[in-house]
Amino acid sequence: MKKVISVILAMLLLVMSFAACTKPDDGKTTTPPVTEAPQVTEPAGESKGTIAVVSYVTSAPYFAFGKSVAIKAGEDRGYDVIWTGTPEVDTPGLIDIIDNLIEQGVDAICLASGDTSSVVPSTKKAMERGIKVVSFDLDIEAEGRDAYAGLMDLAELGIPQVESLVASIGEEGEYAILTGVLTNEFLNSRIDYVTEYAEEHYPGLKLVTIEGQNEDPDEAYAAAQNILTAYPEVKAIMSNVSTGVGPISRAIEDAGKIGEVYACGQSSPNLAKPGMASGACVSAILWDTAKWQEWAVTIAANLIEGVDMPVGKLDIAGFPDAERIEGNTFYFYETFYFTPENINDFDF
Amino acid sequence: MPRLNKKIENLGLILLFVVLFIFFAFSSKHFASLTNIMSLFAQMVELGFLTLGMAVSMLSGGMDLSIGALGSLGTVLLAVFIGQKGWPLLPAILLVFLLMLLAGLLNGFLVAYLKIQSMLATLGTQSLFTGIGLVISKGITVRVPEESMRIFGRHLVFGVIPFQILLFIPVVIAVGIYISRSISGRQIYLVGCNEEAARFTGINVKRTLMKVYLLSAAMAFFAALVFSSRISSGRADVLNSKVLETVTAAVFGGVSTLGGVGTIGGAVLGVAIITIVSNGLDMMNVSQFLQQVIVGSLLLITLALRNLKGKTSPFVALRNKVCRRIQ
Repeated sequence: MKKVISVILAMLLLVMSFAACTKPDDGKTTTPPVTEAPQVTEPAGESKGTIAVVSYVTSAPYFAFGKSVAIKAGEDRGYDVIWTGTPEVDTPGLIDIIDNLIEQGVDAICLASGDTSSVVPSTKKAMERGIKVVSFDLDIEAEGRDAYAGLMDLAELGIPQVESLVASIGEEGEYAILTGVLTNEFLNSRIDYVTEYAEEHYPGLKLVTIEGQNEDPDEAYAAAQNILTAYPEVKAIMSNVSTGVGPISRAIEDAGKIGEVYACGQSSPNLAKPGMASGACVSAILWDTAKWQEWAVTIAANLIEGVDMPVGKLDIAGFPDAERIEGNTFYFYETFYFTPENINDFDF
Repeated sequence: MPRLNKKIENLGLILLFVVLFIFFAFSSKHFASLTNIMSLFAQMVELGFLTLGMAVSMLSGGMDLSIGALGSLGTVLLAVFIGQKGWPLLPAILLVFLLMLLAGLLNGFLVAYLKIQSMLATLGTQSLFTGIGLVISKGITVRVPEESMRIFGRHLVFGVIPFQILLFIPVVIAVGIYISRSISGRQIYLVGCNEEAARFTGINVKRTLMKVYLLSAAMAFFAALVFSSRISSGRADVLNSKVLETVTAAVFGGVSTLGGVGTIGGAVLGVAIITIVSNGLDMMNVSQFLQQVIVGSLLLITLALRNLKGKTSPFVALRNKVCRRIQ
């Protein structure tokens, strides 16, 4: 009996293996329609080449959410798209994948790497073989890529964060900022954008305190509770990092201050959903991660085709604010405002 | 008879490797290119070194879970000494090698002298080594000038053969001969089979275990040397993700998690099969998610087929035979 079960198990697994091999999920399959149409320069016909979209945690909803959009963006430009990467953070694995893509002779690699430098020797090898390398999400060292397809200078996210605040409480009232690590220079420069923009455009807003949460949800919750206690007139707590709105919302809910105080600022949609459902949050901002992948594929396709993209404003369909700045950096400047009405359209 | 069994098992793994090679060669036009074959062998090396260390610890009846963290720490140390401090290559490499052997001695001391179960001891040192790496690197990736360490991970001998393969082969042969032919190496098997029995036969178990974790640390060093060259940098957690893969490769190659059974050749074949599957499926554009399913399935098939050879657990059966033979 034991042998029989073993044989059956072995056969089943063998069949599964070959099934997987013979019908690969290669990222080239037809994908569901997307809400925003990408740039279409010519109808998909004979493939013009292959663009690989590689990310360092493919199992993360943040990246997985953009898969179908990235594939469709490539297909609409006439390219096959290989959407791949390591399921978990695995730098050696990521480098092997890049090396394997080089051997496959892809035409471009759009890469979201977990750090700025470890992939550079491999991407340089790709560039030496004539493969266009476009970094997105986190940029890598400039010598290891042809272009960075970015959203914007992420410090400037302070501006839409203020708009999120105004959408929550109006143009007057006290607010607090909950940031990540208080000593983080990058986050502090974002706070500078917040304060300067608010003072210039909404003088009725008054910043009462800036607290740190060290990227720890429990610490964020405790800090929000402290703010609610210490500043009874506060009308909003703005998160300066994408992980703060959830804990702030919980603190507001637990303090029974829904409708009196709002969580706002930066948040991934999934973390903001409970607060949006309870009414503790009515506006949050981030970016559309799928659109970002579409942007990277678009830049890669343009580089392959030798499309002229001079420094300054660019005319790229689907990206009305596109701009190239010095250093082969391309921004598309599209932050996204999440509201209770649209929040459930996103899953990352 | 056990030796014959092992030879048959290794032949089976070689056959599987050949079948997979032919399958991928027909499935992807890119797979059988010379550059990809060289790339494939190069990709085996870091996992191979780490698996050698893991296999030796498993043969002794333990499991060195700190091997990935120690390798990562090695990349940081190399990057700091060569990249930040600007030391010449040779003294920097020697110092890092010695420091990593010290870490190995710590593992050995915890397991052999303090009698802490190896998985628990190395789980602790895993955290310790990663922590030290984070403190030294301040949590960031430390860069190494590309040319300074190029030879170990990115140099092609005669423009074709990755240097690290030429580094790996003699190390495999040396460790293989040590484990299978030397008295000291055979003592590792006996300690893995039955520590008490080993002690009664006059084997210095503590010294044997110290050797095991020294050898494991040496393998982590080689992995660090090659990988820090491949990425021109060092990071405190960069090889941590490889630990479970080394166990998979070793088990695939016939090394028992119970200790006392397995060969270095088998472990290397396990690495070769996992790497060829990963590379070949990449060439076929099979998603990474499915690749995990396929590797897991292949492992289970191998274990199931081994199970058919005996009424008891295959490892236990083989282990008993080997242990009886040694005793």
